[in-house]
Amino acid sequence: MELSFVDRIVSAAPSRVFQNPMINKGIDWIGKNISTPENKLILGATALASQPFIDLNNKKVDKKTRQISCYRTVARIIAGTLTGVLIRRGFINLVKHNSFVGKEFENTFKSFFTPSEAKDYNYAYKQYQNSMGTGLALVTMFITNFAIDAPLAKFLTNYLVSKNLKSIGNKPKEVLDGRT
Amino acid sequence: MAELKVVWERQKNRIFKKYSKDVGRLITNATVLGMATACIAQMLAIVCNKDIANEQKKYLVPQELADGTINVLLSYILIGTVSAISKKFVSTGKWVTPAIEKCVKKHTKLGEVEIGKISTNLEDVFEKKSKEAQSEFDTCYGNFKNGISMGATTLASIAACNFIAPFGRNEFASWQQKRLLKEDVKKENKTQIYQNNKTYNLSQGNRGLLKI
Repeated sequence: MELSFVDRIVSAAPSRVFQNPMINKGIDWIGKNISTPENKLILGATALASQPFIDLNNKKVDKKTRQISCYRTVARIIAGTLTGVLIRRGFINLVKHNSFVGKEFENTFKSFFTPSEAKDYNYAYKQYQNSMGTGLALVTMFITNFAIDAPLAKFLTNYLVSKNLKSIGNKPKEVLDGRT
Repeated sequence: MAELKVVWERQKNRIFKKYSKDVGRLITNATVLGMATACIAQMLAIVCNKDIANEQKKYLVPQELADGTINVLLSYILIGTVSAISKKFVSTGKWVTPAIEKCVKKHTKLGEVEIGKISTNLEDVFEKKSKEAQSEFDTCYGNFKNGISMGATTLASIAACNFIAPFGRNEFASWQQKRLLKEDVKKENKTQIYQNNKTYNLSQGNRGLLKI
């Protein structure tokens, strides 16, 4: 039977038993506590540390374009990360408080998000709660991306541009009018 | 009302089956959907922002489009692949902890499971075991698998979204801006030539009237 690309990579790699208890504790901690909101926060923090510098060093465009692109990238990352983390965390908490398992919670709002196939709380059930919360957050973000994210990014971009007008090298009126 | 309840129940069970044991797939799909909607919203915001010059818009809009497209493609190709590989490493037993090895040896017969073989799937093996065995397996296996999957997909996301995508989008946006500016210059030149010809023809047109 022909192996898939994934199978070939896994077959070729050496086996490993994670003996170090500190490493195992760390991996377990990540598995228990890190979900999509934390993932979004990590992505946002690393994005702030890398993307603006990549934009500032793009020599294929003029200095003014580079700077405005950099400010827009910073604004977009801050707005996107803020809304993304808060909305995801909010919905995951909502699901956690309304997905109790047990006969006493049947037909109440406390079991609104409880799937009928779930029998008890285990690591899989916790992941279900994270997944359901993330799914609801993503549906909401179809609206909040337009209603909150984009206007907030626009506001932050204009604020950063107006604070750094001297370095862009134009008088305020000319920048706002779009004339060079 | 009863039909809605049935549909809702089906959706909950579908999400429970699909994502409860597959954190990597959740991260991949969440990244794709998030990037796609954010890209569309940001492009609209740039176009409607009167405080950004048209010259900069010719760079920023293609940049945003390229960013969204590259991020979506990389999410499926890179993050999806890394997620599948990390899942396989753990489910086959290629990467294990001493606790998982001990649990497998305790609850399986000699030769039943070959830890590290590509065809082995520890989750399938323990699904058929007693509740006590499943519970003990979940305790040592679940968080380890999620931790490996989450760590791998996060690192892949950082590489894809914060390093590969920015370089790709800047290349595309620079090329697109140059192309659009060249077209603008051509249009300006055509308009200028037309204006010049109009002025010339107007000045020449009077001669005909003076003929005797």
